Amino acid sequence: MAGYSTVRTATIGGLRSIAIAFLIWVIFYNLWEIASDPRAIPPPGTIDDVVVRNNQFEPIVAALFEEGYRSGRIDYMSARTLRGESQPIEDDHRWAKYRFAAIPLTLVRNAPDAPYVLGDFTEDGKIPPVPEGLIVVANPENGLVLYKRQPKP
Amino acid sequence: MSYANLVDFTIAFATSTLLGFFLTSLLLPPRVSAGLTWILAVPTGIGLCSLIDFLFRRPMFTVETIVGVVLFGLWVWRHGNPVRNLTAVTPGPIPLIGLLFAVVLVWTLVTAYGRVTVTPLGGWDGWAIWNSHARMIYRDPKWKEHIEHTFHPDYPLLVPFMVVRMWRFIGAAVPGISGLVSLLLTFSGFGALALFLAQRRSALTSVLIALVALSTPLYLIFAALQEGDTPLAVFILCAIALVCLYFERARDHFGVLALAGFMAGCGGWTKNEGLLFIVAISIALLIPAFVQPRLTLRRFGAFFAGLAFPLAVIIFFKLTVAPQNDLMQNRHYEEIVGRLLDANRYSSISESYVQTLWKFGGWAWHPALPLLAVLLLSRIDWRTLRSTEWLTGALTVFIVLAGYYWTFVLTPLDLRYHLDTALFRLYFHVWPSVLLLAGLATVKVDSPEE
Repeated sequence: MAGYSTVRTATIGGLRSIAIAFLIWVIFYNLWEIASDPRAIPPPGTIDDVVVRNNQFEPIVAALFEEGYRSGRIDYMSARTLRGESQPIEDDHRWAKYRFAAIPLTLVRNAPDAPYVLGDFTEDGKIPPVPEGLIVVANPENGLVLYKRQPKP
Repeated sequence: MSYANLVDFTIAFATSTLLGFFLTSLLLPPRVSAGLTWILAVPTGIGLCSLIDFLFRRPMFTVETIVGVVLFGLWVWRHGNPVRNLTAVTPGPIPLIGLLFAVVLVWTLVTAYGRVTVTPLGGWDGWAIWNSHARMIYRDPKWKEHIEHTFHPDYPLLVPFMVVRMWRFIGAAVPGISGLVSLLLTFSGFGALALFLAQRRSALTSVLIALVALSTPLYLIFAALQEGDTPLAVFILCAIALVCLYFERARDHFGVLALAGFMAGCGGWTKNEGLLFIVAISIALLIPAFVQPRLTLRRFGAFFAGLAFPLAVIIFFKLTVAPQNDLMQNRHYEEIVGRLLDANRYSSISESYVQTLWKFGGWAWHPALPLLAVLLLSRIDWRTLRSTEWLTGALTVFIVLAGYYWTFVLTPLDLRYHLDTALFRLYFHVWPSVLLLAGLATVKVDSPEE
């Protein structure tokens, strides 16, 4: 019986060592995968779209602050809005990113009473003629244009 | 991030950890290792400062200083002169395997920070929700009125205030700070997992379990993307682990349960799912009332004493700032009953629960089977699986997962979309706690002081 017990203990001990070694291999393989997968950890210098849009918006914030406008709503329009087309999901995503960049100002859509309007023409970079009733406040030439609504006569 | 920013960040992080240390060591019994006390100080300090900063936004550092002085006074009164009593503040000798774990932990932290440097404003939820709220609070004195213009303005504010505190201390909204503090909080959870287990389980088992948690790719990426899920997972882990610690080693020390209550409250202050966790752990703690009503109520009283402050802040926030949750808006009786009676929803959700369980971590190799083999060959203590501490923890996790299940049954969102975007992150919330319970199931190692 003592011999059986010794063999059993040794077998379990051996299997346990193999299982531990395999588990350690799995752990470090997963860690190595994280470190080497560019989708998980993109290489330095990779451009993040939110950072880009945040930086694009900085001159707009500066222009608004120069106008003394530090709190309130800004209307948002894209080239599609001007053409009267429906907005695809890509427009929603860009709007959401500029809305984040605009905080504490509130970037909203379909706000005809907002005193300022952000024109987002970053999709193709072509700036359309100034829409009626608006005047250009800032055009940092990055696809964004800040307009001010002219008071109605 | 400049060198000066990093120095300021280190001071801000150290002061919140110090506050957490005083509170944690006042509530834990002296026989708990100083290492565990220090690692618990990180989430405790972050939670405490976040609650203070919500209530006292402008004089936040004055109030923190007053709280710190009071806690330090109480700490000296209990422990004596810290210079003469170094054992109360130093971790003591660390085994070699612990040092190796620390090396892997730091290496992984540095690797994960690489993600923060590329996406310093966070992932989708990171910037659209948590950093948006932090920006609004930091930049707008009337943030309580204007936060409704952000995504999910009803979400609790532990993470945003954790970030705002750092920005206020530094003096600027430096990109990447939110990712760094999120990573440090998440990594304190890995340390806590190892040190909780090391209290009574072998060092090898403790380190292996913590490494399994650490090597969960998507969990790490989510921490770097500044999502709220990994902070919530840390608070859930700490609350469950402290309840287990109470039942296993400190039944004469109700302070442990008070700290568990505080951690649970911080979970509720992190995400709405944390509110479900508060309910779940409360039910699990109250179930023994059928057998031992007086003792159970005393235990729950201690737990509630720790929960009360964060819970009061959550209620205040929900009543005065937060609009209605999007899952609750415009619901009708007929529509809810229709979802309840739709059998297809149950089968879809059950199927997703099983499928997602296998892939939620984004592993190249799933660690479940080798881990199970190690635990079984290391001897499972079957008495532990029937013990109050283990059953309380397991029941809490079960109730949380069941609660998520019913949320999916009743969700007004498209079910497939909701399952695909939410279920894997809901598994994150309980993943470290499940690993803790797995480790606790192994045989105990006698501690020298008992």
